[in-house]
Amino acid sequence: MTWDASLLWQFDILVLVMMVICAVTALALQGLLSSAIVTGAYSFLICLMWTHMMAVDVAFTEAAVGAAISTVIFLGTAQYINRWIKKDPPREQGIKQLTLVIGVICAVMMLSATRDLPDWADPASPASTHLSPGYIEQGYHETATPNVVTAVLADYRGYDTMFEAVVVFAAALVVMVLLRRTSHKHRKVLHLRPKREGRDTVLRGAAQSIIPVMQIFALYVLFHGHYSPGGGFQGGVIFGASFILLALCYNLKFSMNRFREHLVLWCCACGVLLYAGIGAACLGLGWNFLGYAALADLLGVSGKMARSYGILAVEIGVGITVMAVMVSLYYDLASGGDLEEGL
Amino acid sequence: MISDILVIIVMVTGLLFFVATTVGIIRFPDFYSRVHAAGKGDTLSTTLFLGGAILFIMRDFSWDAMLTAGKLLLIVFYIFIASPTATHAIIDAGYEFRVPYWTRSSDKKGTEGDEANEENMDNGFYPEDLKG
Amino acid sequence: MNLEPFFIAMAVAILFLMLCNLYRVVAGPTVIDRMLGVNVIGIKTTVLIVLIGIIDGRVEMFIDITLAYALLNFITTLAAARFYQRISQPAPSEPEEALVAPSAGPEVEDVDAPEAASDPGRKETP
Repeated sequence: MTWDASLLWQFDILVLVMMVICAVTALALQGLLSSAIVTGAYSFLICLMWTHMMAVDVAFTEAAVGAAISTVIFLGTAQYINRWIKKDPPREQGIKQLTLVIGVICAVMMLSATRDLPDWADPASPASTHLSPGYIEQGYHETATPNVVTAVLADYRGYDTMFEAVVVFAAALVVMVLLRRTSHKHRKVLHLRPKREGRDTVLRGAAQSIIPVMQIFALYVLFHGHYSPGGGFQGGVIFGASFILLALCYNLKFSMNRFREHLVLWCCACGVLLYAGIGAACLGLGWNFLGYAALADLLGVSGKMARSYGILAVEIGVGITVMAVMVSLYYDLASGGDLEEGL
Repeated sequence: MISDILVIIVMVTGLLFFVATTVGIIRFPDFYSRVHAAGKGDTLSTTLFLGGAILFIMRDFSWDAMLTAGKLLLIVFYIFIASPTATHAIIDAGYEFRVPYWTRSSDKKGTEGDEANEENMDNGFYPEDLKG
Repeated sequence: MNLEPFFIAMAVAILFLMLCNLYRVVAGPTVIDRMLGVNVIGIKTTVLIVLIGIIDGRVEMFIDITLAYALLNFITTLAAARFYQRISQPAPSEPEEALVAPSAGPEVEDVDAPEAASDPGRKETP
């Protein structure tokens, strides 16, 4: 039941028009919150565009991070800031116009530089002639992973994914260092909010039915990353989002009683430790750093199955880190650092 | 053949409901009525579209098709639970945020209720008889 | 019976109607109207992804992303609704918890609490 998979130009034009409208609207609106929500809509649409272009893993990540987590973090942070764009004094308006001119010049330079890039889907581009055939032909034989994207991310380009996990971990640490307060004595009043009194039955019921399924689905996405679009990052984001959903439907304290702050930080660190630890183990066994074939004798399997298991282990590490980082970012940003009341 | 006709009927019905939803969202005068249009019409049209997709996938009764159709059924159940809950959350937020009601007198021009309701629309308070 | 043109027409029709829904996102008088429009766009995108999968003949690849998409759209809508419930409540008039450290710099003006206390239920009209 396969037809000729050609891209629909009508689809592309409509989605691109909608994206342009969303982007212009997000810039033109006066309230920061409206801009944040319209940016969320923009993320949805670009995810659709990438799905249409068959880049499903990228679309998955964009849907998870750009559409949900970014918007929730914007909204959680915006409780504390001045939400209206005020008119600038004249001396700052001059700087803004200068910035606009510089921005336009840079944009023109970059757009003219894109003329040197290869055409879209050009079979003779350098990536398509030297790199891609190797991965596509040898990927399954060397790593026993049908999903070539996961094999490239976690095996052939494993360093990049490891540093991605480290960067995400560093982001959580930075937010915690900047925002986290333990005592109320030195806290300036940012925003006084009354405590949430009523509990909404509808949201509680929905959360009780959805969250367990969501967590099982997140584990499925993680472990099935070898065979279908997904992997560690996407599974971790969905798992973290389930805790954010718990905090939204009930209370921040309710979610924190189930996933405490010190456990969150332990998970952040353990994921990165797992990833780097596997690399160091491979190094200690005599191969390259992150050369999973070194684990073949240790596990008692063939070389390519060792690589497959190595990919699975590092994806689990990435998933644990990303889950804990999403939860930690939400805890710190939505409560302003004191972990009392979230969104 | 019959299954194809059924798929077409179900999907076109879903499209009709989505047209109704869009018209409602654009044309209704009030936030609360728009939420009605969006919540109910959107959920139903999505359910019908995905139901048509399930019928289309189940045309050949292979094991893969049953698995995919089962996953799509799970998505349908999920949207059936989550979309009305999201609608409830939106309208609850609007109610606590005191978005003003539309009244018939605010729609007619040049009547006496016009200035009072304009002022209410600007300040975001309810009309006098609806407070409390 | 070849159903591909039918599905293509259906996908383009849904996209066109999503474009019409974008009117509510752009011109919604309140912010919650925009949230409503974004919710509709998000849910219809799941339908569109399944339709793309059917047109290209590989629905199995797109099912996981459809479910993830629906889950995350729900979270976004809930977060926005909770946010507006949160800021609609007026701040208490007495800041009992406002203890400033002696070594603090010049007084930071609380930009939200005085406005909210003086004007409860002010409608946000960006």
